[in-house]
Amino acid sequence: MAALLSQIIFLTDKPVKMLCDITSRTPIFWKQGGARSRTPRFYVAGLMLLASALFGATLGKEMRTLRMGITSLPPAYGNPYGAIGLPGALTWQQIYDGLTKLNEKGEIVGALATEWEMLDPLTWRFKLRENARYSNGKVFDAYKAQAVFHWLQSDAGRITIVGNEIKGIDKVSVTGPYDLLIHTLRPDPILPQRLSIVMMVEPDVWLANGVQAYARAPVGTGSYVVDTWQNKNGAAKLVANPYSWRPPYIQNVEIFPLNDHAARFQAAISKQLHLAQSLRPEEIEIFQKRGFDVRVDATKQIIGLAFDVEGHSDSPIGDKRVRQALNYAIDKNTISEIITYGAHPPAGQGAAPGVFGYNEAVSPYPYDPGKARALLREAGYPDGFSMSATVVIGTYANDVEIYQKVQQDLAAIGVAMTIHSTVFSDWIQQYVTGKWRSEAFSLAWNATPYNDSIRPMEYYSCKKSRPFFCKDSMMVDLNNAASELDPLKREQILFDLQSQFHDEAPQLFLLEYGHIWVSSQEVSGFSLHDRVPPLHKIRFRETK
Amino acid sequence: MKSSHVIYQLSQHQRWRVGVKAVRSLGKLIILLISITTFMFFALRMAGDPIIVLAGENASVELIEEIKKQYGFDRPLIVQYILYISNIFRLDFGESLSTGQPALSYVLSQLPATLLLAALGMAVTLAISIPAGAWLGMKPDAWGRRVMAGAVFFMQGLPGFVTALLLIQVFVVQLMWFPSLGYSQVKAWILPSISLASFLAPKLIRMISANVSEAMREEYIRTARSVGAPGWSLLWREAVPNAILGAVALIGTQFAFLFAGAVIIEVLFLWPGIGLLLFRSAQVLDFPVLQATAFIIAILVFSVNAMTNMAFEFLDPRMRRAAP
Repeated sequence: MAALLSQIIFLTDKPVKMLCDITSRTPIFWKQGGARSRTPRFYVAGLMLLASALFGATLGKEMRTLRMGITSLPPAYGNPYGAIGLPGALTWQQIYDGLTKLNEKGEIVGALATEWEMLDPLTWRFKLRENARYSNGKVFDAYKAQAVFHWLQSDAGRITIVGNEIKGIDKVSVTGPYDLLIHTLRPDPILPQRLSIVMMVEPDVWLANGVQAYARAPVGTGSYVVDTWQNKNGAAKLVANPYSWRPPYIQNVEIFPLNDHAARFQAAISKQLHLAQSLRPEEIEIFQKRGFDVRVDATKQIIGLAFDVEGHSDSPIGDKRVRQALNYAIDKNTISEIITYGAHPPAGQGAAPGVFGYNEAVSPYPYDPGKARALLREAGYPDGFSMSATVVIGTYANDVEIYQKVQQDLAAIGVAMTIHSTVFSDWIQQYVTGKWRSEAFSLAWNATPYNDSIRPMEYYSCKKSRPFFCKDSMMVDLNNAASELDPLKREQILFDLQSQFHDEAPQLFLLEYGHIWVSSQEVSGFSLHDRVPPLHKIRFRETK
Repeated sequence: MKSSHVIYQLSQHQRWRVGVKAVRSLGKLIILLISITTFMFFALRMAGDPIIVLAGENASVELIEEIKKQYGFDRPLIVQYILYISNIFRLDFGESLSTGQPALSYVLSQLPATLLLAALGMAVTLAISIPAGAWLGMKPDAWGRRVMAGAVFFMQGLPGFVTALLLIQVFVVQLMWFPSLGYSQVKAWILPSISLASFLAPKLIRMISANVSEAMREEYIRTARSVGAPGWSLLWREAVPNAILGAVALIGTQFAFLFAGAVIIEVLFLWPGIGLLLFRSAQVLDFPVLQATAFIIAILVFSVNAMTNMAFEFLDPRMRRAAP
């Protein structure tokens, strides 16, 4: 090493000399020197330095850290009330717990609550876990939970997305250190599911530090604590929470926000990541051949193009027969098999199998261009018509190819559809204000986070603020489904609603879509609970 | 005793000229910053409503209105603008709408990573361009060098991100020699800097090559050669320094480009600099962070351009004499 250093110093005497030249104010490049140039030594020295740096870097033993690549970190960091679902849940569910959670099959199970019962249609009793502590060592109990609900019902809390979701809660009372009573304003059959999104922050720290300071240094009961939201690898680093009731096997985790698909794929396939989210169907085989475990998320959403019937009532899509015709015109099997390699099956209703309220009796619209043309003729459009669709490209794997195939199939029945690609920030402005510039737009039926079909149905109804599809005749059933407490009766109502939605066709139903995840051979215990892998269950395999 | 390290003694007239120049530059910088921040303010508001983006698709219109009120976005645009400009004079860009961190310090915290990447990119660019340009310019009509010049021409048309993806595919995916995430390891510096250099170097190579070729035809070189001066000495001690001098302006421009133009490289390699921050903030329309980023980039680009001019004058006495 000493020899190496002396050689480097000898070789790099030139820059030192150059510095001296600068200080003597002589234009350095014009100064005449000896006959023999040492310039090539510069490069040799540079290369040697580089090589020694590389060599040094490879000598260091890397600590075993679980590395997960996802599309993005939560924009609001550790504030779990500013959004619902992905991508935030991927991080929040590692550092927080709700009272309940969804398991691998999409069933509701206990988390910080171990059991619950409905005392009357408006009152629920929750028995809380007695061994849960926050990462600051404080005990989690019913008083802490009550304080969380109080904040969410305050002026500051109710304007958050989660606060808005639980606006049906009237009050929360404590009947014992680990007993909580929740009173609702109306009967709420999915209250236990609803509580799965209410992450239990540490209320004292929350109030003392304020939301944004808390978000940067969150305190939760989950398996991990945030060490930093961005380290030099560009990743969020989590370390094991020493007080967690669900301690992890792996002490350190890095979560890499890799928005670019190619970067995510390349990082996963080169084994820089142990887990990676949102990969493409055509990559399944590549990963499988290299020994990765590939999973398609079981809690699927239904992707397609929603029709802005309310905003374009005078256009052809205001007619149910036209909407049905467009559904018949699409060859969904080809899209599924060729474009998505069979990973995402065709859909014909607003829920996927496994979602509460999914109706097995409702099949996807078959590919029948003849019937599609007949329906268009019947509706008074024998020569077809022109329409446009606003889509956000890149939301789903291979969505460009999917929309192109849709365009092609519609053209075959005389419907010329122009695709307007936009960005999410523009899409959401139109969605929230209800001012769509196109007759159709990309929108999924998303049953998460409750895994219940009522939620997306409400978005496809008069219940949505500034609705795009509003059928008064369906509102009675929708209201009944929202308040019926008998699960069997409620399921039947949802079945009926699925049939009605299929028939009304407020969407050009396309595919059942689930995120594709891969986990490397180095780890075991990978599973997905409502699209989120519980990292505390993952461990490194022993290497021989 | 007079020190041999006294650089330069400025006359009173020269000092006055330097002072005028400094004031003029400062004035230009202030005008530039006001123009950029004003443009950003209105352009971003035309791009959309950040509150809707932040609130997400589940938010009701009423909820959005309440959040807008909380952030002051319900005020008339001109009132928002006056507040914004007056705050900027105190270097207060507000807080990130996403994380609540002060926007300027948030951007500055990302700056070292970008500076490192820019320095690495420039270092690799120079390390490749100077010898390659010299070699090509020495005998530009030689067969092998014409082929190489063609390759350089081809590389000039290849975007940096394409090279980056190819490099990742070969050296990360296939050979697994280097990582492609972040910059915590020295190994991780190599591919991003080569990716940047692959885009910048071809232009510089061509310029140095042309300059060297021209210099090698100069009379004093031919004279030196006729009296037996070795070819390598003539090249490295005479032609190349002059060629580099001619390329200083381009080097400065390229360095300035690296501050704002390395966004895709930072995204692909998850390099946590201001480019990556810019990309993420644009996705959620985080106005304060976007505005602060544009402000910092403008200062950096301006500074590099100013330093390039200074370097030019420092290295070439003719420029000093020609300067107004």
